[in-house]
Amino acid sequence: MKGHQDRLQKNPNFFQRQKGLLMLLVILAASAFFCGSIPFFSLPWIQTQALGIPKAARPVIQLPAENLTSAPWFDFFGSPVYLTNTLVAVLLTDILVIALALIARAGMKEIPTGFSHIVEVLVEFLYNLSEQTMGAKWAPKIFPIAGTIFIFLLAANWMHFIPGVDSVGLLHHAEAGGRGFEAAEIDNSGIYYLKVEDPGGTLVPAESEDHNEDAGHEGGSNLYVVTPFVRTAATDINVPLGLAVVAFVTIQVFGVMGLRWGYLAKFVNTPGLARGGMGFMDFGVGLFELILEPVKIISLTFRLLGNIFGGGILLAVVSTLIAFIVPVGLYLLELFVGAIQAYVFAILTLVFSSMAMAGHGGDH
Amino acid sequence: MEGSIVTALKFLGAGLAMVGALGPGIGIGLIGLGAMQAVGRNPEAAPLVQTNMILAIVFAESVAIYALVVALILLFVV
Repeated sequence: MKGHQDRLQKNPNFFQRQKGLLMLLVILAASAFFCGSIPFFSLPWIQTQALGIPKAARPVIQLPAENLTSAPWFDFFGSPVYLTNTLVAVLLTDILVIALALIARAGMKEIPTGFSHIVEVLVEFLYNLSEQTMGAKWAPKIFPIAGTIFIFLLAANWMHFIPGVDSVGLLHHAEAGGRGFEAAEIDNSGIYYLKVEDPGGTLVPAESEDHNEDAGHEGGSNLYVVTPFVRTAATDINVPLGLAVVAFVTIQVFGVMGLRWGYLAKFVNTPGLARGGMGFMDFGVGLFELILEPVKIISLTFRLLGNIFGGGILLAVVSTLIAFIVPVGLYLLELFVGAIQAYVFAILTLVFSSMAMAGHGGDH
Repeated sequence: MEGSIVTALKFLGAGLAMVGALGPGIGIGLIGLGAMQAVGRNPEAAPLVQTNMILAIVFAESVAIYALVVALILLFVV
């Protein structure tokens, strides 16, 4: 390697000297072609000449996950469970993570190479993180759950960057009170497209409370939106909430494992009450902590949901406003945010657990 | 006409909710200032300072995220 570099430095030709510059030029030319020509020239031409659509539609944003089928998937003790697009994303993430884990395990050697090496670096990083916060004794116990949370969330958040996720889907009736577009068929081919007269879409009338049949339903029935097959998992509140509950239970379990029955005295501070004096105040503080403990679930849930959902909206809206260079920078930002949120969820689980295990003021 | 006033107030409320991002912005700036000064004085402690900095930023940021969630709920759910 060293000799190769020396040889390059002694007699470099033009291409070797200006390799970086040439690569930049190629990247700029490619991005100018793909980001510039397609949205500004190719797509508008196809839209206006071939399909007769004048404008690109602004995305219709909906907070709850969309159902992919109108019929329930299965019954869960009487309540119907629908196959939603975020559920598809969660299952895909599971399959992806398990497949990558098997591939990495197959390549494990004394000194792993290639993909296995990358996985080893990641796992080592996560293990060091849990050792830093929980200490060498407890790190092997909490590492599997913190590492799983990190890797699952990393895969789930970065799934947004696979082309087709959050964008390719079925036409679906617009929700009442939301916005939608009229659909039309291309020459009886069974392929439909959205007729976009106004980029914002048409407001679907909300279902009126006085059951005004002729006004409420006729307007809403022919408006459609695209329901993506796969939508980033963390944009559905159930995914962050489920993970937050898992993290919360982990924190409680580690608190009990670390302090035994002393963990209960953190909340109902009877030893403090027995001390008297300032102990009464400690008792009150303990009760406050009992109320504040479940807030961790809410805080973990909304941090993840807000970041990922907000990021998704940002990308969708900016891509329709200006599809040139700007979204590339924002995609880079979202790549960073996705990784940081996965890291934060894992490290908060670790730190809360180590806080739960720490005894109160030297009574141990 | 009634519906349009409700829509207008919805958007106004979402905008006002995002005023809540002001405090976390200042807070994250102060955390960054403190971390930079700490690393400047004691470069060996940089990894420890960085971990704790990210942790503190996350707690400050969560307030802004609550504001964002309120704004999103006003825009897309209510």
